[in-house]
Amino acid sequence: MVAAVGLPLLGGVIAVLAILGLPSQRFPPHAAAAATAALCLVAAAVASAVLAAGGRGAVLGGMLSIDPLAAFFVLPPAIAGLAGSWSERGGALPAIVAASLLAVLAGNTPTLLLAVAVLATLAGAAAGLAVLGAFLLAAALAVLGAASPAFAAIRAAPPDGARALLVLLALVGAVALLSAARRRPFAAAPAVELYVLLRVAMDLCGPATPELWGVPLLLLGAGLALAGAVRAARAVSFDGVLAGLSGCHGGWMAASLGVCAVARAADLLPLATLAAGGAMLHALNYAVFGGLAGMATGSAARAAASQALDRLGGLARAMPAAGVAMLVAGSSLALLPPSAGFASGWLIVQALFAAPRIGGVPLQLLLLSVVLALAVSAGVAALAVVRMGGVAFLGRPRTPRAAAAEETGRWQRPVLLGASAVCGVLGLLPGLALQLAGPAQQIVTGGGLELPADMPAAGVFAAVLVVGAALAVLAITMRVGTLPRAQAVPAWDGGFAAPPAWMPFGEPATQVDAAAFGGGVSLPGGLRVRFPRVRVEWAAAGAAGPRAGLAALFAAAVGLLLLVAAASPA
Amino acid sequence: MSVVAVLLHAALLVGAALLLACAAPWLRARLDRRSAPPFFAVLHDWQRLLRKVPVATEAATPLLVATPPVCLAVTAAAGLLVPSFTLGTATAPLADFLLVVGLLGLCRVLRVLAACDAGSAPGGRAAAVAMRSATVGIPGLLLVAFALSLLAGSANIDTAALAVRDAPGLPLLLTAAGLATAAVALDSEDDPATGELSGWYLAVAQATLALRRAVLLSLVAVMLPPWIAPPDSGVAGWLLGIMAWAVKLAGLGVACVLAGPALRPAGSVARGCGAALLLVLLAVLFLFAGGSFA
Repeated sequence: MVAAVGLPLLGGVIAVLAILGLPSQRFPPHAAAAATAALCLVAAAVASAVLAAGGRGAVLGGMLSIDPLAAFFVLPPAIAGLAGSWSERGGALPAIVAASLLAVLAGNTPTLLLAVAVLATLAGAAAGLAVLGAFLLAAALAVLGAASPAFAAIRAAPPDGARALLVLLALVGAVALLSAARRRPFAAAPAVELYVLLRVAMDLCGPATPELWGVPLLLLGAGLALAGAVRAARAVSFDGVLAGLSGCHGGWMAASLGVCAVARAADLLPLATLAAGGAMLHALNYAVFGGLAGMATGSAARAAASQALDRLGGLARAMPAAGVAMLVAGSSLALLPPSAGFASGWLIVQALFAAPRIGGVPLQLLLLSVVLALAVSAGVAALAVVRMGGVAFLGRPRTPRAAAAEETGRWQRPVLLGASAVCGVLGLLPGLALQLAGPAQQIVTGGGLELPADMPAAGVFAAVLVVGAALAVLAITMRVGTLPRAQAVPAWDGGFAAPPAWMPFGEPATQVDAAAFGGGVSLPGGLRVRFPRVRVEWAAAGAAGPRAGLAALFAAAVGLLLLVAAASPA
Repeated sequence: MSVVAVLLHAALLVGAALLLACAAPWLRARLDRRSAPPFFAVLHDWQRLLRKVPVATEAATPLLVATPPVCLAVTAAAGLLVPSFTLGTATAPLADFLLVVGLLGLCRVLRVLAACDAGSAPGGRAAAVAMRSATVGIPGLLLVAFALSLLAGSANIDTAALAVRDAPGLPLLLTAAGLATAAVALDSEDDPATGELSGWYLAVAQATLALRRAVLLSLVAVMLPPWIAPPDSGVAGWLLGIMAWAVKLAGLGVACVLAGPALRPAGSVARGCGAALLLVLLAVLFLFAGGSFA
């Protein structure tokens, strides 16, 4: 009943958002942003109601459909749209949210393909990769829906054998390319990619997939996590860092989905449910803390009129609320406790740690390399986050324009601090959000999830004890009022001469810049791991070799069409 | 009883941290055949720092001066989770290896941010070096957690401490060696914000490093014989556990003093963590080859 009413409502939300996102000047930016926020709130409320009531529904001849899995994944785009509409005035955001919602609520293969292609076009500057990814997805969906494009019909007769493998490989390739093509960080993009993987690989391909099914997903996760983290560590702007980190976290989710696939095939339903729950919770949490990071960096970039890390500095002093929001979001992005990112990342790590018991040395070696890749990606992601926070938000301003930045607007502080508080609650009480994911998990694994008994955040008593101890030490250390407060003195440059009068913030070049965090580390045996050098490539972005790219694209398209023709039933 | 054990554990941990902090420079000097400083010189230094008026650069945010007390509190919280002389204390359900490692990592990130916050060249350089070694240190410790959960069936330190007694010898030895290497390497790492702090902030930052050493070494001690007392082992069991813990901590502390100066140059911490990573990788491979994990 709720689904029957809610789905047309969500369809209306998508339609209005799509109209708002049309490239026209008729809507004032503030009104468009407010309308986007309101529509996102409506979508989130409807999705929560559908999740609570359960049930399924379909409209427009099966073009749009909803079930608990889709209803859960409506939440991340709605949250990311809410956050984005606050920090972004006008632009393509309503269209991006509409495309994400359409992808999640699609009921047949053409609708899903259309939505993902529109999303890739709007969110990516690397057009060649995005188009290639969309082609691969088209191939996967064409093979999948060769008999009938409706999801209900595919579910009744899932593909098997070589066709199923072709679907999976094309799907994994498509997600890898779409993630690599992303240049604009949209906080729900990893969630939408996870949804497409979940829907096609775990739902439409039937409940009885072989153990081999998880291998491409695990490899995809490891690759995305490493590539995303390295991309974030070498990016020169806020958007670049956040886009890389969204790839990294998307990789963590995909790896967890791989564990889920392997465990489901081995009939280890508790492990499969744990893995699916970890991935879904991480997708939801990423929408929140990724959205918060977008809000903080967006307001900082607007105030300082630059996205380039090396043109910023000292923003936290001028914009304390943005600084606090960045600290909260950054601890999640770097997977540090007690943040929301740590809570869901912890679930994913638990699933990965339990997976080698499924058996088979080849699978165990694969899992070991995936654990290693995710571990390295966590380290590099921490470096990327600290580099962004330390260079842009802390220290001294590097340009006069950055020195003039200040928090503007009456609502900036309360909104940023409120969003930070929401993020903190998600970190301390992960069980709340996990309950939302319960009905959605049942579709994937056929079982509900109970929180693991040894989950650190589950023991409220123990948490209170630890926090209390921490506060006690804090109070003793501070001994409020008895210890002297720090006196402000000019920055000490290791004995260099005092800066001249026209440099009121000191010589900016004596600070470290983003490139200083590059370089490499030495390992035993003379092995040296190098991080790619940070290069500024403003003009080159998206302009590389159009002719060669087009030729490769054409060849790939022809090859794919031949493959699809060969694989579809006679 | 379990709450009493936590209180006793906290007191013992603080005592061990102070003792290790005082003994390290003294032992270093004796090993170099120099005349040693007074045993309690470190404590006198801290007392003197408490009386000074601290300064902070005017470019800094409140983060710079908030970091030392916050880091002390977070390290103390991590210390409450790591078992020392007995298992089954009130904090045992929370004693997750990943959580302890995460809390110590949070301190490291805060210290690096504080070093960036001062806006001085040396602080920034130290921050970059510390963060680069973290890109090896974090994977190393995560891999230790992986090996531990394979050896003992759980990454909860309290559960694992009992289960590792029946674990196969070689992988356990390699994991313990890897963890010990990582702990000694991480312990030798200085606070990158030291140059930016003064007065009682500096004293608190140094005390945090001393506490971190006790926490890291206790973490290693859990995996080494003589074994820690099992839950509900009574006062006699506690006494035996305290003695075993003291012996292990003293041995590991000497290792820190011996290895510390070798790890001082920039980049050496990453090399130590890399060695730990390889040791644990070997342990996991042996486990898979033997097929004998929990």
